[in-house]
Amino acid sequence: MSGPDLAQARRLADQLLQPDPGPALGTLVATRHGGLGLSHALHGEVCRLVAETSPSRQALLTVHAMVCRAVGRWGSEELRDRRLPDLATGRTVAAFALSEENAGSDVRSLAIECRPTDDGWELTGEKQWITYGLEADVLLVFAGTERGPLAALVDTSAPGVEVRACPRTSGFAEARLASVRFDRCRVPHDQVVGRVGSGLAHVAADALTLGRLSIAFASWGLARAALRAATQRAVGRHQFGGPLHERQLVRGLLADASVAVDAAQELCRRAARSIDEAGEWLQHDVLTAKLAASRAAATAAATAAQLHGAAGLLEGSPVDVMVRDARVYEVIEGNTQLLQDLVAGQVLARHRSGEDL
Amino acid sequence: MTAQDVTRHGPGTGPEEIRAVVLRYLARYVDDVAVLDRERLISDGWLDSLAAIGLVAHLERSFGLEVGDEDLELTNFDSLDAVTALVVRKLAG
Ligand SMILES: Cc1cc2nc3c(=O)[nH]c(=O)nc-3n(C[C@H](O)[C@H](O)[C@H](O)COP(=O)(O)OP(=O)(O)OC[C@H]3O[C@@H](n4cnc5c(N)ncnc54)[C@H](O)[C@@H]3O)c2cc1C
Repeated sequence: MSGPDLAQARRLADQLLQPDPGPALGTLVATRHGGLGLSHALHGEVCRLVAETSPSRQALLTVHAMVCRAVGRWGSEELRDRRLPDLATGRTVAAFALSEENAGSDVRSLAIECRPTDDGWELTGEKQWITYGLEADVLLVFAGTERGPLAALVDTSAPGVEVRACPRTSGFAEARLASVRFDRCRVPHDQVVGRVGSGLAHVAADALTLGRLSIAFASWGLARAALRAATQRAVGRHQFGGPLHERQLVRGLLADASVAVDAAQELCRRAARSIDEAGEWLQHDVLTAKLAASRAAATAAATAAQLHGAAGLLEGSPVDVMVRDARVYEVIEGNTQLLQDLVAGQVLARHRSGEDL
Repeated sequence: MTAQDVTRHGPGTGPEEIRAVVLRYLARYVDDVAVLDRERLISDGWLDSLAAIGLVAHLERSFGLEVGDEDLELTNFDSLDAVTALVVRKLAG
């Protein structure tokens, strides 16, 4: 990453940490739609930098970018022209509404009701765990229909939409999570993203790829911040007549966290490059980066907390928050076990393709 | 046959060749290629969404075409014949 690129990423990260992030939310939106048109590599660095300070805040960029991506990639020209300029400049804030009570990792079991009407669809049911749902102006909602899965934009101000705060989660505590209840909410045809039937296999899958890349970079950022906190503690805290870092077992913890952070960095950057260059195995690269980086975040956060001893257990202390946020990264955008399953699928695909691993 | 070998099939590519490229891609995701003769590969769960979204990227890369929202009808992707027909149509302009 070049100096000027990093400087731009820093400026955008600073803006995203402000109460009103504005155009910094348009990282990946094409410039012809008023966005910044950044590469995935640069978007990733922005994710990383924001998460070094606040994973909760970084989550806004993840979900907003996923919705922008879905509209930009699969929306009709009319929909793109109508919605992207406001999404690109943050005048409209977007959130991603896929999960339901009985549809978590297994999104094929969506149960929200979606009936055809004369001019579109009618939604009834509930979505939950919607990051930044409390702030969102528009939701990308996924539902099953008689003709297969559908993805559509639903404005939170529309009749029949009720947004409620979700019980506070221990990680992502500031990520403004919401549950949304739809009651015969009308969705006109011109709000549909992609085609009826392709809502999961194409629209959601593609957005989740970007989500996973964003979370991978965010995990790397959290891991870096945690390693920094662990190192400061190892230097600053004295026990047994010297700083903690003189203890060999403490050095082992620092070394393992450092290796995990460096591996996360390389895998994240490789995955971003792979998307930017439309690489043949980009899914493999993105899944690998997400799996490794979220584990790196967990490792480094646990090390930071452990070296803080009792102080690391103080509720709401910086390292305590890191441990909790790191746990979220192993659950969202594909939990760790699901990702292992998917990475193995890519390993097998490469084997079957005859390509040397 | 490696990924590099299947790239850069342009306009003028015949249906047989297109079908072979698609088959080679989809064969990565199944143990038994006979499965790929089925009608509802995605809607019946023979291929998962990663294979489906990867297929779009693979077609774009291999044939230099752009898959847009108007192509996204699931019926265009649900069988080997349907995908082949989609590519033939798109290459014909
Ligand atoms: C802070 C936070 C923010 C979120 N934000 C959003 C959002 O913005 N939009 C949205 O739609 N959703 C969001 N979610 C929901 C999130 O996507 C789901 O929690 C996630 O998909 C997992 O679903 P689940 O919680 O129902 O877990 P389950 O599906 O019940 O899985 C529980 C556990 O079972 C194991 N498991 C599950 N599947 C497999 C498998 N295939 N193989 C092996 N083991 C498996 C894993 O250990 C997993 O952790 C958020 C969740 C959290 C906690």
